[in-house]
Amino acid sequence: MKRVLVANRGEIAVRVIRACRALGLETVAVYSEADRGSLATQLADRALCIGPPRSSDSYLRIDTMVTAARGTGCDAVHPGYGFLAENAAFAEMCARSELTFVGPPTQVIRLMGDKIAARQFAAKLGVPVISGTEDALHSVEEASAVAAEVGYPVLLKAAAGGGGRGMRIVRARGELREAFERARAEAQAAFDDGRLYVERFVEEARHVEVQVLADEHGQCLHLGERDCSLQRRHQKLVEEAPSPVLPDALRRELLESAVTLAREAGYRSAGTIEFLVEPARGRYYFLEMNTRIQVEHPVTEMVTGVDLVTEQFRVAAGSRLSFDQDQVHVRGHAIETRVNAEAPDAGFRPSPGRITSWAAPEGEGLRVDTHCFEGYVVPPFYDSLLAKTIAFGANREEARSRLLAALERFTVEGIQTTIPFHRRVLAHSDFIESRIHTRWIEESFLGSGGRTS
Amino acid sequence: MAIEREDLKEILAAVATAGFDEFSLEIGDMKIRLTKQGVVSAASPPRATTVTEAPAPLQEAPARPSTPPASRPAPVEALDGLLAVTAPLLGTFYRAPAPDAPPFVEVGSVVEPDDTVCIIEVMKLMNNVRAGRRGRVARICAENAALVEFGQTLVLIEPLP
Repeated sequence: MKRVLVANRGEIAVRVIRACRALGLETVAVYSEADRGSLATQLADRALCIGPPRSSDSYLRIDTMVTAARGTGCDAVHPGYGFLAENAAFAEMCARSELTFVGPPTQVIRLMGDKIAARQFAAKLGVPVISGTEDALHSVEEASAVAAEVGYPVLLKAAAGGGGRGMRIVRARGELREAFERARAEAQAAFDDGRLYVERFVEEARHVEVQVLADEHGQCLHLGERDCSLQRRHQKLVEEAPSPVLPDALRRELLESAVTLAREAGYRSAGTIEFLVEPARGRYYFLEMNTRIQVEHPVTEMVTGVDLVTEQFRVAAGSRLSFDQDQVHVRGHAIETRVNAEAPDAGFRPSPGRITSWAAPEGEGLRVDTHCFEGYVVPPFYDSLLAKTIAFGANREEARSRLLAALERFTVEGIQTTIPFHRRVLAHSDFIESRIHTRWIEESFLGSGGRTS
Repeated sequence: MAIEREDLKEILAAVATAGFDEFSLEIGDMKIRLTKQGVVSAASPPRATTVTEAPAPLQEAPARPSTPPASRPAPVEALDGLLAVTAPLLGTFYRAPAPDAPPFVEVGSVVEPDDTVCIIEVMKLMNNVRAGRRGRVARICAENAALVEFGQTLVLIEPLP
């Protein structure tokens, strides 16, 4: 492996380019017209314009990506997250074009991409899943029968799901028909796949996910868990490692389930297995597996000292992981907040535009992953992530106060950001005491005095 | 981007056949400057073409050789009044429909708006690029079989009524 095409944009493209540099790999960045002059294009050894702003004409074009990689003499492609990262056809096309896809084998991407198949796979291995349908629902009547069996409220989900699209909570039987039709239409529009399934809705759940890492020599291990319970509309806003609420016995089981799942699926590379944890019952359930690097991977890196992107490259090149499970130690605590170009006081409306002033915090135990700089124009075409601010501490409280102090001196002008929102969340007693769940932002925080002024 | 021995060989071969009298290349800290024997830099030395990663800098016309080879585009004195046909997508630029076929256009060819001036290949899929306006081909700005970026200028056309 000598030259890598970075098939992404934004902060993750920058992150991947930096990892390549550390490994002595050359980089080729690709950019749409909207990303001309971006930090990734400045840092890469070479940059190519691949199309107009619209993702479907640029970052989502498999043929363009492969042509760009081949035409510039690349031998590997890193897909980052989003865009083509979990596209099995892309991974396959890379393989056929003699390009190393820095990710898992195609068949695992395909298996885990189908949420119903993944759920069946987990259940077969004895990994707990939330009670619900085994197969895709054929009708509202079928959904109604399952809902009656598992009990309301239920959650309708898209088989091709992700990002909360095609997802609907149904609290009573009378709401089912409309929710079913809407979820199906949404899933059809978003994924070109209207298949739905239904599960019991777990109230006051926590989202806990396990980072796994596997090589092609039979080594498959975990790097502990992340707690990403702070979400708004299924979008993660704050992530931390380790989870502040998992009892040790439950943690052991959960980590073991994750490793079993990854190993049995024939996984290779870095991946994440997401679980829902129901603290009231002391139980956990498999949600889905993400076959890529995650946005929130830095919190794991902070507490384990492992560079996940570097390991992805090593494994993709056919090397063995440089450590085994006994050498993985989770030390201290790390918290990450996603700074987005959104106006928290206006319903989190996107706020693209020119950044007239940018001063990211620096200091001990702090890490900021970003592609932004003063004068950078945040384009309106892509996701709103500007920066990930990550703080490490010997314990959770130290990490929290360090992060809060960092966000207090993080100044961005010209556009609106979620920084003031995060300051309030981090200072909230529910967060300090970890009395939160996946709907806490919407049900408690935004509804009460948590509103940012 | 580090240059390997093989890369250098290819560059030298390309320059030798391209008809440039002078050539300079800058990648990061590395600079290569080549001058053909017999070319004397006189009062007005030929300007070197700088090969960059960005789309071909159109202002910098290639150095004018004393006797331009027929296949080589005539230098464009100015961009004034010339219209650019740009790459509608990233891919491989071809001047002809097949390796042994004559090129779609040569410098001086008169084209109609719907005439194909070149092809961009993306994974075996051939995309015809049309002139878009009536005019005379003033310059062909990309090398045959080279990777071109989205939006890169391929052909310059002098509009005709």
